[in-house]
Amino acid sequence: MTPSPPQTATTIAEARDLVKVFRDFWHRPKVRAVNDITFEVKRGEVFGLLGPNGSGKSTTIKMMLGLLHPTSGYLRVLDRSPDDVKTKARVGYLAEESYLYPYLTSEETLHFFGRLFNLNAKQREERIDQLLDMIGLQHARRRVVGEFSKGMARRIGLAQALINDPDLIILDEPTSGLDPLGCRQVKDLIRALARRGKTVLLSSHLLADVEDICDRIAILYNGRIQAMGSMHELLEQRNRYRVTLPEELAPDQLQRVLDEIRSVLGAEPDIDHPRLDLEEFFLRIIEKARNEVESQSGATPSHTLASYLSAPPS
Amino acid sequence: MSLAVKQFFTIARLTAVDAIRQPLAFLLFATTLILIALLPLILSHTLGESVKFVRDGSLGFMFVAGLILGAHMACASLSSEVRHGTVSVVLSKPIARITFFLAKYAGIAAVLLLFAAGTLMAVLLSVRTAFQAYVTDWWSATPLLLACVGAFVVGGLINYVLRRPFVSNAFLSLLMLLTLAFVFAGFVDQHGQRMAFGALYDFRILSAGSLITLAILVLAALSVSLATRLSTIPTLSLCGGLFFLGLLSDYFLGQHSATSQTARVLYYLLPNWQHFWVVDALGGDGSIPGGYVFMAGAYAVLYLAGILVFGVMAFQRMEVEG
Amino acid sequence: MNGILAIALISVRNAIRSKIVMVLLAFLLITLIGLPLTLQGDGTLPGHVRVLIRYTLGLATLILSIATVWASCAAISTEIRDRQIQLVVSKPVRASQIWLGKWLGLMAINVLFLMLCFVSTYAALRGTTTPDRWSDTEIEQLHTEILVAQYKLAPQPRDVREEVQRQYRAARARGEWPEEIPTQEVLPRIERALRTQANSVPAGSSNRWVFNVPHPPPDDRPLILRYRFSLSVMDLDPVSGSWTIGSLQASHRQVETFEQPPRTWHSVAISPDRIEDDGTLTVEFANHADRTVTVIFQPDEGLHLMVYAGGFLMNYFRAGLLILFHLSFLAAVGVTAGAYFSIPVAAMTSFYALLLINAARFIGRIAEGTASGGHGHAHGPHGGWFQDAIHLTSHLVHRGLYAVIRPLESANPLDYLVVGEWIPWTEVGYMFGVKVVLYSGILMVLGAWHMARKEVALPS
Repeated sequence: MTPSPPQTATTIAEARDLVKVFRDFWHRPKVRAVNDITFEVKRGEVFGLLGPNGSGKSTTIKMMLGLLHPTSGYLRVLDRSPDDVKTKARVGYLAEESYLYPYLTSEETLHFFGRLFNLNAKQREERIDQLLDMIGLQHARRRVVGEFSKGMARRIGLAQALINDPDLIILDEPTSGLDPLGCRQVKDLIRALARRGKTVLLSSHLLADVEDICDRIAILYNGRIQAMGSMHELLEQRNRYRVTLPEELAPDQLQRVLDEIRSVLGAEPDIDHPRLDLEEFFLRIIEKARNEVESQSGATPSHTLASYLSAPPS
Repeated sequence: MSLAVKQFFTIARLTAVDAIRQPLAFLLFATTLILIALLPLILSHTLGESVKFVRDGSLGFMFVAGLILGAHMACASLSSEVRHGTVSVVLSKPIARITFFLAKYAGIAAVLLLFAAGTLMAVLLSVRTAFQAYVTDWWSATPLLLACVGAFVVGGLINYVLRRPFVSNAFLSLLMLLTLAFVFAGFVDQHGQRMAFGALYDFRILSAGSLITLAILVLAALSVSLATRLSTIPTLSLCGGLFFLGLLSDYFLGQHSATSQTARVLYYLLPNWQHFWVVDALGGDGSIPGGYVFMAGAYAVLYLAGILVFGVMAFQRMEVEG
Repeated sequence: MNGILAIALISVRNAIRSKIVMVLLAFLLITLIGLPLTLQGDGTLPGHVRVLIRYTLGLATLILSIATVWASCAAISTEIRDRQIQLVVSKPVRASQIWLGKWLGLMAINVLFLMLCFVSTYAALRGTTTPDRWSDTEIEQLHTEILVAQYKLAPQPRDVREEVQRQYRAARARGEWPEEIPTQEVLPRIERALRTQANSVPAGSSNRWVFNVPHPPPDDRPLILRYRFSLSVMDLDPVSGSWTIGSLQASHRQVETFEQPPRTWHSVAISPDRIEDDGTLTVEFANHADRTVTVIFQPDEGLHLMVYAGGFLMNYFRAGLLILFHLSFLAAVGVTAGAYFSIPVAAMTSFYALLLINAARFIGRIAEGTASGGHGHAHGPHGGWFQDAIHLTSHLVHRGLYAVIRPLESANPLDYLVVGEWIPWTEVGYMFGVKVVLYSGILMVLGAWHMARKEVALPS
């Protein structure tokens, strides 16, 4: 999948020299979770914070949501302070675990969050219907969330993050707890949202996730940004080339191509058969099985993006 | 030492350490002691003859705080551990459930015994402070107050300098400082002169206090047993209900036990807290006969054993999630 | 507003589905049904009403109070612990809206349960006070004395201040009170003794009291003279005596003779036409005991006149409102404590706070007691400055504490109901202002202020 480029260069979120120090009871520094980081998220891009556990990804995200307060530095989200309720009205947030009310049904959960955004009953009904359809939990709309598997709860978490048609969607470990099928669906959803012009900021320690969906990434380690740029800039090896040949190549044709390369380069090229990655392979198998038997998965998404999720004004 | 015994002591120790790291344990202990320390100072402003008020009031504080502490620790160490999945991790190891359950109770009981010992020392000091009407014995009041304040200071210093947990260190400091205060005041009379140890302590309080301790241990056993099957709120509600019914069982059930079979069965099944609250017998020069303490002790031990058997049975069949 | 209601609604739903409400309902039903069946009362109709109102309804409201404190402490603190608060705080809602939503949710449940308690007790009251169970006299007495709303009048007080000072000086001169006993300990004792003396009637003599009745009742509603006396001797044998009610003119006098035991409440119904034109009513008690025994009416409570002011149902409703306001205050204490601390610590803090409020009068007495430097001679390892410092600190702390909790002081409204005493609307309005608007408002500001600054996503 080819990531789409940012549509405009407007800055949606900006952090400069951002620092977060956790302190003990005596106010002495205990942990420097975020250490002097600077980055910008542009409108319409999918920006990834990549790093191992404890690298400061979640802390950064929580500061952008007003759940933690920066120790020092500059942080603006949608041109305002992250604590401002006007900022929060335009942000959707999926936490690293689905912190939902276990005794509420899917429908009640979404109504609750919809009401927090002051959506009227008709708007809520329409959006909930579309969202449940989109995440494949239409059949579980009256089941209480506490009974859900981790993956199903995660999908409800994603739906509540989108209920307000946000301009900025912040996703903390969006694929955590999901099976490969669910991971792919969520990744497809994020790409679709980006195509609709939404800005997405996500954190993950899963390299494949980030590689598949992000336009730009920042790699964090020990609270600092170690590398930042577009996927293309960071991953391209400018001094090496790969040539892909047509599938139906006869052995003598291949031999002639290789001879030609040897004569030009004066060296032996590497040659092997292309491999599917495991995710691709797994999905093909499941797709095949699904066509044969009815799905065993708890969720059957419609694969269509909820229509109310609008393109933001340019 | 057999493996089961080692496991028992390991889990009991861990439960006790975990319990005294809970903020509520220290807060309850400290506030109970502060209230006991302040009682004679407050009452001397308003009432003469304050010994009875101080003794009844401070033993009352001990009873109520001990019950709350026991119920809270039971819920924290079983209900919450079941909810967080800690129990499933421990039980996946080669540990018999009966060992685990009894060790949990033993850990809680150990903390309750520390609490009771500390509180009883404070009661003895406080009753001595109030012994003379309108006159405060500062040689017992001051060490007790200093022990309470000192525990916060020592706990804070240990936390600041050594970066060790405040709560558990303050809890243990409080116990140690209290013992020091008790021993010091035991050798000094109300004029600051040296005397034979404990001449001004009313040691009759210890028998009333030991019965209250037994009641606290019984209710803690009930809480631990209930916590095997119920979450925190139902456990605390049922314990509260049982405490209340046990207090009134003479009134509600005792009077009907002659005529109603159900009332009789319930009367014998419910713990009767009246047996353990005999503070009134200490009025004047009265004392609690050793025979009574022994019989009440035997009742408590049998009751405790019965509840723990019930608890073990409930825990054996419990399905652990998480 | 939508956000507040959404949070309130979710709190109610959570409470219902997490079975907290079911446990509470079970406790309430056991109380409301079980207690009247178990408690027998003293066999009299007022005793039966007392069981229903003071014990059954009293215990039910106590259970509701404890549940309110616990549930309110859990309201925010469990969401912080289980981290649902992170999703809520990241939405466009203010901390004050979260606080108000939680508080409103709790109050919605409280209103429902309080209605259940009051309606079922009222139904039991009506259903069990029927003529097939009790005599006509008892039922008539019930409707004139208990199932009504009457305001309570104390007799005109006698001024004993000068006499107190005179006796105090004499007693000190005689050395009756040792010097270390402070003045403020002695004066109230002398005053109490003098008041008791003024309310005593030795055998063979009589004593008179005058009531001012500013608003006489309608003609068909009698005034009720309620009294309780004790004796100068240690027995509970009945004493014979008589009440002469009204002016000294024979045509206006009502004479009631009796032989009654001490230490229980008695009453005499008085026709409103006994009230003089100037609005006073005179009652005279004559002690006809055939033994040497003095009848003593307790100075504060032992003798008073109950005057009809309205019906029972409205009074019952006002009592319900007062309890509801108290529950709303408890909920505010709990929600705020829960914003600051974890559940067990919040619950403990709240219960200590409520203990202090219930001990308001006691704290007031201590504040007065420490004002003059407290008690006299003391033994100790320190000089006078140490004791003075402790006294000063104690005085300031108690004065400050008393100033804060004094406005919250109130009598149990159920105590009004069991004696048919009028609960004024002014009391209801005052309690609404103090408990719901002022104190709950202050608590909301404190709770919301802390929540707005609190970092709800700190690593555990």
